[in-house]
Amino acid sequence: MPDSALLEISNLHVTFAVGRRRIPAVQGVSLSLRSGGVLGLVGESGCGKSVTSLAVMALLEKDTASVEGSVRLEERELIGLPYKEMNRLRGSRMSMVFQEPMTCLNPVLTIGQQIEEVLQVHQNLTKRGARDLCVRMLAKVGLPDPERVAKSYPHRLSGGQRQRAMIASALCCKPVLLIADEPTTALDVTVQSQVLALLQELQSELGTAILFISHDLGVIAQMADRVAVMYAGRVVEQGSTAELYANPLHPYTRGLLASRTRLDDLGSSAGRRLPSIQGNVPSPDQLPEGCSFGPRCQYCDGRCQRGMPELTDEGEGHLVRCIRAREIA
Amino acid sequence: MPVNPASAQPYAPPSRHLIKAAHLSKSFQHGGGFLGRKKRFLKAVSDVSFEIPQGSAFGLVGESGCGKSTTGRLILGLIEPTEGTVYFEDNLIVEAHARKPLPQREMLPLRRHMQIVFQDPFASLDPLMNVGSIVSEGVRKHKLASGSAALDIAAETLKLCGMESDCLRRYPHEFSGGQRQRICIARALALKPKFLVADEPIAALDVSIQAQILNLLVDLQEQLQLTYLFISHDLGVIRRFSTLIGVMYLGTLVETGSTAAVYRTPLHPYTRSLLSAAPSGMPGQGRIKPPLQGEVPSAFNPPAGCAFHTRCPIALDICKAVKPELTDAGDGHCVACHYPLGSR
Ligand SMILES: Nc1ncnc2c1ncn2[C@@H]1O[C@H](COP(=O)(O)OP(=O)(O)O)[C@@H](O)[C@H]1O
Ligand SMILES: Nc1ncnc2c1ncn2[C@@H]1O[C@H](COP(=O)(O)OP(=O)(O)O)[C@@H](O)[C@H]1O
Ligand code: SF4
Ligand SMILES: [Mg+2]
Ligand SMILES: [Mg+2]
Repeated sequence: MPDSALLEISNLHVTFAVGRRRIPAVQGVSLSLRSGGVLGLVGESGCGKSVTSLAVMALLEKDTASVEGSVRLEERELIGLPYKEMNRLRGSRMSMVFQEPMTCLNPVLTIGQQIEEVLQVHQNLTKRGARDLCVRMLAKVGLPDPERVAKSYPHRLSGGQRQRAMIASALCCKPVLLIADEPTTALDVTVQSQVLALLQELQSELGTAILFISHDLGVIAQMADRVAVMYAGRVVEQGSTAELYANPLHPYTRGLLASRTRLDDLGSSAGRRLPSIQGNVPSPDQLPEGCSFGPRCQYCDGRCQRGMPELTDEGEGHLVRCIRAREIA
Repeated sequence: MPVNPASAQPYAPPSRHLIKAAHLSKSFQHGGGFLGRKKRFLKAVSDVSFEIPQGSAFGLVGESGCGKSTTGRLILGLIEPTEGTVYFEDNLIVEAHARKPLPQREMLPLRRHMQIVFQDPFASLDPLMNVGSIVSEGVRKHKLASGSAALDIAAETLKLCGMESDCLRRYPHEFSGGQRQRICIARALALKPKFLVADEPIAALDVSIQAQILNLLVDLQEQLQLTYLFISHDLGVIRRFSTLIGVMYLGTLVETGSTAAVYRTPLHPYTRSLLSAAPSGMPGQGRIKPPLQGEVPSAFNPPAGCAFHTRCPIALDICKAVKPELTDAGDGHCVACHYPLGSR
C-alpha cells in the first residue's frame, strides 16, 4: 500500500445481531484512498456499501453491530477511538452526505443555525464569523440568495437545494475526507448532473478526498479515479476506473457492465435483449459455499465452490477475487 | 440508413393504432377540504395527444412529477380526465364529461385487454393471497375460466414469465423483488391482454435483475404480440426498449417520434438537455457540464407560454407568451418548440 494513503481500511468486518440471527454484512473489506482522490464504491443494494461507510464514521449502533478490523485516517486508528475524540473528527476532518438530506438536516433548525453550529464547534469562530462563513459556503454550493437560504428551514427548499445545503454543511470545515453515500440517487438526471458537477468542483478546489458510494456504474465512471466493486459483503474487484471499465476481470463486474443500457450503444446489433446476470442477489446470512457469486456465475466450476477465492493482484493494482479471472479474460 | 436496435426489429409497427389519446388533461385538486385550506389545482397532464400503433412499444420518458404515471392511468381509464378522449382500437373508452359513457357490459371485455404493471412489486401484491390466487383472480373475475382451469392458466402464464410451477401455493413475501415483478407481470398477462402499461417496471429492482425483467418484457411482446406503453425516467432503457418515444416536461408532451430519430436528432432543447445530462457510462469524459440550471417549476403554477422557457438555454420573448403546439417536423417526428434545434 502506498504510504500516502489518507484513509486505510483493512480487513473490516461488521456483523449485526438481530435476535438470534447473525448477519455478516461486511466481511473483510480492505480499501485505501489517497489524499485528494475519489474512490468509487459500487454494488447492488444490500452488498454492504453503507455499512462500510457507517463503520468508518463510527455511526453504527454499538449494541447491535460488532465492528472488527482497522480504519486509519491520516495514519490514526479510528476503531476503538473514544466517543469524544471521534466526535471531534466528524465534521472537521471527515464528514458525510446521504441520499436523503433530511436524515442529517434537523427539521426544526434553519439551515444557517445548523451550519453555524458546526462551524462554532469545530472552528472556534465568533457568532458573526460563523454567520459570514456560512453564507459564503451556501453561495459556494450554488444556492441563489444564500442569505435567505440561511434563514430557511430545510422543508422550504427543493430536493436539489437541500442536497446543496447538506454539501455546504459537510464541507464548511474543509474536511480531508468526504463520504458521499448515494448523494444523487433520489434526484432527477438534470439535477443529478448539477450536484455531481458541484462535488467535482469543490473536490478539486478544497482537495477533499471522496469515498463515493453508488449503485450506478454510470455515475461512478464520471466521478471516481479508482473503483471497488462489492458483492455480498466483500470487495470482488478493484482498480483504476479506466482499467476496470475497459478490462473488467470478475464475472460479476463483467455482467454488470454488459447488462447496462447505455445512451451510446447505438451501433450494437444485439437488438432489444440485453446480456443479463441470472439468479438473484443472495442475502448475507445465506451465502453459498465458496465464491459468493458462484450460483449466478456462468464460469463457476467445482474449484469455485471449494473456498472463498482470494483478492489477488492481476497487475498494476487491479485486484480481483475470482480463481478463473485469468482464463476467462 | 444506419442500422440501430430500435429500427432493426423484426416487426415494423403497422400504421394502425391500438391506442389513441387526444387532448388529455388532468388537474388534481389540493386543499379545499373541511380544514378550510384554500383550493388549489395542480395541472398534472396538459393537452397530451399521441397514438400507439398495434404491436409497438411507446416509451414515455421525463423527470419525476412530469405526469407520466398520470398519463398511463388516464389511458387505462383508472382516473377520469379533466379533458380529452382515449380510443382503444375503434372504441371510445375514455371521454371527459361524457354524456353517454360506455355501458359496463361493453367496457368489461375491453378492460381485460388493457393491463398495468407498477414500479413497486412489493406494494402491489396482496401479502395474504398465494401466488396462484393472485394470478388467477382476474381470469375468474372476467369469467375467462374458473376453478382449476383458472389455476391452469395462472400456472401457464407464470411459467411463461420464468417462474417455477411450485410457486402457486407460495406467498409474495417468499420471493425476491425480481421474482415478485415476474408475478405482477404474470397477473397482468393471464388475461391475455392486447395492451400493457409498464410504469417504471424495473426502477425498484437491483441492477443485475433489471436486464432480466427487460428481456422478459421483450420476449413476451414478441410471443404474445403485445402493445406497450413503457414508462421510465431512464433514457438508456427507453432507447433500448421502445420503438416510439414521447418526452414529457411539466405535464406536456414536448417531443414524440421514432426512438431512433429522437435520439439521433433531438429537436426539443429539453430532450437534448436530458440526453446530455445522463451519464454516458464510460470513464474519461472529463468535467461534468450540467446542461440545465435550476429545477422543474411547480406544477401548481406552471410558467406561461412554453413550460420549459424558464430553463431553456435558447428561449426568446415569444416563448414566455405563446405556448408552442406539438407539430410534425417531418416523418412523424413532432416537437413543441418555437425554435426546434437544427431548424435555423
Ligand atoms: N442495523 C442493521 N441491522 C441488521 N442488518 C443490517 C443493518 N444495517 C444493514 N444491515 C444489513 O447489512 C447488509 C448491508 O447493508 P447496506 O450496507 O445498507 O447495503 P448497501 O450496499 O445497499 O448500502 C444488508 O443485508 C442489510 O440488510
Ligand atoms: N392522486 C393525485 N392527487 C394529487 N396530485 C397528484 C396525484 N397523482 C399525481 N399527482 C401530481 O401530479 C403530478 C404528476 O405526477 P405523476 O404522473 O405521478 O408523475 P411521474 O409519473 O412523471 O413522476 C405530480 O406533481 C404529482 O404530485
Ligand atoms: S419554445 Fe422556447 S423556451 Fe420552449 S423549448 Fe423551445 S426555445 Fe426553449
Ligand atoms: Mg446504502
Ligand atoms: Mg410515476
